[in-house]
Amino acid sequence: MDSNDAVTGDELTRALDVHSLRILVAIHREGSISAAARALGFTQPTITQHVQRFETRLGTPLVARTARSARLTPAGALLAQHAPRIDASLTAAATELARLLGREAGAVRIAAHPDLMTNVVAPTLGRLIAEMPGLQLTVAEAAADEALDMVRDGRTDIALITTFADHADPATRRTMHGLRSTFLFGEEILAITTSQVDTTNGRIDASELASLPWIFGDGTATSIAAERAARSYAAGDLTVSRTDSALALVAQGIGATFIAERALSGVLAPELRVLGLAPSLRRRTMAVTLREAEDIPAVAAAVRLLALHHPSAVDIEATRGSRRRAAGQRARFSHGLNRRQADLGHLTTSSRHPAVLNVEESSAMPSMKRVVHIGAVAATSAVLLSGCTADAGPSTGGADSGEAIDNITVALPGSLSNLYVGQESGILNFYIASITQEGLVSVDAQGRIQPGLAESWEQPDDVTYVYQLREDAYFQDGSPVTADDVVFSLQQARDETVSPGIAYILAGVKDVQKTGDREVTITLTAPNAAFAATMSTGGGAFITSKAFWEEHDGRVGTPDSLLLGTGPYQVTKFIPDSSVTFERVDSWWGEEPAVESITVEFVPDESTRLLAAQAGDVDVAFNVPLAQSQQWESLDVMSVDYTNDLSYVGLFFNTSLEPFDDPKVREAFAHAVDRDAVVERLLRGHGEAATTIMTPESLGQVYDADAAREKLTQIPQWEFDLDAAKAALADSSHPDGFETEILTPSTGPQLGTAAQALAENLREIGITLKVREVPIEEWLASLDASSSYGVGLMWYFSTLGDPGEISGYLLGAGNPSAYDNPRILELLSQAGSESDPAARIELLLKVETLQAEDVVNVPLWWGQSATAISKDLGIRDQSSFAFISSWPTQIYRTNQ
Amino acid sequence: MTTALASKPQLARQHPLAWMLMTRIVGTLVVLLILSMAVFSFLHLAPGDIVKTLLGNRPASPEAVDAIRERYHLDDPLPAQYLHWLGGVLTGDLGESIRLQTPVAAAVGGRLGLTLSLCGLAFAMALVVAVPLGVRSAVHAGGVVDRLATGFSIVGLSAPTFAVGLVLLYLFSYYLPVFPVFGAGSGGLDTLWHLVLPAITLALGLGAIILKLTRTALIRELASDYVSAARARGIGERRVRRTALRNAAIPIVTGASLVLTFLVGGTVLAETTFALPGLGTLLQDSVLFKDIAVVQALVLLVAIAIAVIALLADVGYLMLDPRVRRKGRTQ
Repeated sequence: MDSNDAVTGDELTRALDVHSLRILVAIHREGSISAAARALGFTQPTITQHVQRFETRLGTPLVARTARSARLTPAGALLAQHAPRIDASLTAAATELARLLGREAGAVRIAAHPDLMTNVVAPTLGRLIAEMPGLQLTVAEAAADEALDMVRDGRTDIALITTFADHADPATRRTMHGLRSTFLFGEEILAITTSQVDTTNGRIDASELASLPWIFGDGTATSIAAERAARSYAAGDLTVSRTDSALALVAQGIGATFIAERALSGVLAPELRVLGLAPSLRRRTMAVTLREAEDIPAVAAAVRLLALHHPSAVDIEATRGSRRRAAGQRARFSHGLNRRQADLGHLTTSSRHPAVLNVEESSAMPSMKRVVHIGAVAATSAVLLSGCTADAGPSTGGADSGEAIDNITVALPGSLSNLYVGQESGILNFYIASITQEGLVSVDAQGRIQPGLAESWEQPDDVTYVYQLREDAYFQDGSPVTADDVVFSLQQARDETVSPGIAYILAGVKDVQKTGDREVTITLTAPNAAFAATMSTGGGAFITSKAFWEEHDGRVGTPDSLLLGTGPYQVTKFIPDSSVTFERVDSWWGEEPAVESITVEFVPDESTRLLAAQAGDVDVAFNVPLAQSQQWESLDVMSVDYTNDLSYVGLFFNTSLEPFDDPKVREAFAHAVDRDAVVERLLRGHGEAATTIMTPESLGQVYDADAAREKLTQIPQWEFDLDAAKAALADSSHPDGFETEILTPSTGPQLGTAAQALAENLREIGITLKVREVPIEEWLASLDASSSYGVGLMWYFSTLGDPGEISGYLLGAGNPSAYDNPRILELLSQAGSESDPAARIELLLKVETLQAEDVVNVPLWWGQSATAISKDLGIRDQSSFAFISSWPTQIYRTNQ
Repeated sequence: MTTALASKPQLARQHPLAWMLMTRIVGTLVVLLILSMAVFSFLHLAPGDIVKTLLGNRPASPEAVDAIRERYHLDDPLPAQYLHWLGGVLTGDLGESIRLQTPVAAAVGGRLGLTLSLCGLAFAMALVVAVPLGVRSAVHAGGVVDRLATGFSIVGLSAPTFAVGLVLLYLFSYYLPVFPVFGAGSGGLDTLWHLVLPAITLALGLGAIILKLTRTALIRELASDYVSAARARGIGERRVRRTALRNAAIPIVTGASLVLTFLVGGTVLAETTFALPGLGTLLQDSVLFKDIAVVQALVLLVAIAIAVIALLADVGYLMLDPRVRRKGRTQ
């Protein structure tokens, strides 16, 4: 390279000017210098001279001229590619300057699909003009891909496009590099016909209309519907270019057509039948701008108004009818007929095998992912069946009727103080936040990891995880999910002062970085096999918007700020000690759930909650107390579902305190524990006598239910044997017994009764154990190696379902037992970095064996949670992991 | 200070009411100060650890614990923490709730209305029923109404609040579904509707005490010499009773005002049973959480309420009893 011609980057920057760039763009678009000149309103020689001067300044040819046309050289094309964004930034600067100088002016150019003109563009422009008088407006009609090209070239500011949720549309699937799309609204595609076909709840399978002539063309969505129904263009099909033409043809009895909900308002002839599709087909409308154009006030205002405007929908039988029926169902349940109905319902539930039920459902499921999902569930349901010691089968309810559900009321046994899981992280907080927030990944019924906000991820090495975000993910306010938002949310979750409840989960994260437009890279300090699951809402990933967080100064989850997430429901109101309400949004990337709104009521008094359920005011009740479970089971309107909830209950000893520093004393305690009696009599069979700290469900990745339990019984056990206990005590440093105290949390009365039972047994061997029930806060404070209690009850709800989660806490560094076994610490760290799940479990089993020999923890039981569900509702995929993903999407109305 | 001291007796002589108000306010302020110190230290001594509560039953690194202690100034010496809080209160900032992550004023303000309505409704119900019933019991002592009222007041006094609440719920929300089972409703008349059963629950115990007080006070008055004298002079029985009731009013007012202050404690149980978002549950949860700023604000609020109620009762004496008024003037 000649040193003479070499121009430094700085000089290059000074040589650039926006006018020259605009000329390059015009040449690129028009294909010749003369056409570009015409488009810009200059003469051809002026443009030619300008380009020549520009080329001299930069020292490189930009335009390759031929006889008739002009093409950009690679250098010219590169500049032309950058031009629109530079232009947009300058326009933003100029507009702000104009405002500063008091010369308010602005212009907005919108390109939209012709379908959107009447119902979306026109009404918004009216409001925009009212809000910003003097604004220059340009509107162009353009198809989706053309409109996107116009935005990229800087020929328009806003492109309004429509996409289909599960349809690979080439125009929108193309990488939206440098573009920002804002979700405006979603709507259903409806079938229009005059033919008298049978429908269920006003919905029809599109293939049932396949024999009729279909009317295709612009202004209809018939081609998409045809693709979904696997129907090709048949003889007799027609093609038109306008919505009203298609409707007019159908009104004359000619075939069927498919049109978006909002395009129908006001143009329907009375003889037309408007039917919903089953499964429903949804179209979403979005506004796309250049990222740089966000700062242009007029553009920002236009996008905001577009997002606020929701075109009116037609009154369709599909949703209206089901709503009325749903109300009727409710009314019947609250009156006298209910007992007989409920009995019938019970019969169908118990005679049906869960696997059969799920297969039936899968036939109605459109997406591949969901089908896989359901296959997995059938297996887990079987796992749970065998896991239940009592004869309570998984009562997931009857078959799905496909009806819409207006509202469900969920009754919680206590209030949440704050909705943000980082601030308050009880198990119920996880359940409630999972309604509205999502993680990068989700966890399926078997505890396996599935896509969430990240559609794919890879692990280039042991400590690096690279996540690719979905393109169609939006926050509930319509703004798109960016890599910045994800990085920010995870940074907040790592900060222990902001998120004390979940910071520990991300303690091994070294760095979270944005490495691409839609790419986030997480680096760990050391390999961690359990890390992948922590990016779900069962772990520490509760993705929220950075703008939202900063607007509320980090005080999120309060009654004023609520929560903003990407899930299918948006929080609309939160009153501590009273209720939280959620509304369904149409910005969610998944399929629209049946439930429209959710009210979560906090009912602290258990008798009141039971009474409310009896009166029919409750649809779902979480964590029904086991002592009251029989009363709940006897209700006519509710059924109770017992699911292993990944919780562990066990005794732990503080090995640094007298007399528990003596292994013989601990042994005496271990022999005095009668697990089977506790599970049988105190828990009424709703739990399982535990042989290890890890739960059988946490082995689900490798072993099925029976194999997992068999694995876990290999660990040496201390059998219930009071003579052996006496002998152990006689060998200890306290042969005559002693007196000690144990605390139990008031929120878990079953722990208190279990401790009483243990105290009875201990009395026989001469140890006095005082059981004191205390508020949960006091109990939590006692779970520390520095506390003065030598024996304690551990009650741990795992949300990750990882086999090493609980033992890592109970035996790892800083454990509450002050137990220091270098061999165990080494095994735990090996298990942490072992990537093969089976090998990892073997290592953890060794840990369990070692700790069992030292009697540091005495496992009591693996818990079950009782969830009461209204008999006219069912939950798909009911599993141990069900409530830490978007569980309301799994609720359906049964056809009883 | 010295000028104020010098002017005191004069003020006391000329404006007894203003004097009473002033001494009351100064006295109340001193009580509030001592109370806030006491509550602050007791809460500090109470079992539980706010850092553990925030972290939950999960592994925590010493760094995480230190960072949280640092954020909430838990490592400062106790007096410094107290002065930090006091400084805030004196400048109108009640502080921040650690549990709720909202300003204390907002947390308390959002629930004050409901608790006031509940207490007001319960108090009004108790007065409207208990006073006339007490009068009738006293006038016809030993009659059917008297015996029924006595039985009713024994039940009201001895039945625990939560049990009464549950019985009412069974009767009027389930068997006879007139009232809602739980919640505070959607505001306005709906909230009032939701508050009826909790108010009755509270009013039962309250009314029993007021009934007993009214009956006893009136019986004593009716047995006194001036009543015999009035009757001997042939004054109408209605007028005699009115005079007696007026004389019996002072103990009734004293008793009612004392009972009203007890209501604040009773609301905890009623709010739990009926799932109402009121100050009672807020106080309970905050004490357990050791959320000092909220506890302090509520304790001070209750103390001020008690002081105001006591003051109103005293003003009530002035209005009811001309002798008290005259005494104030001649002193």
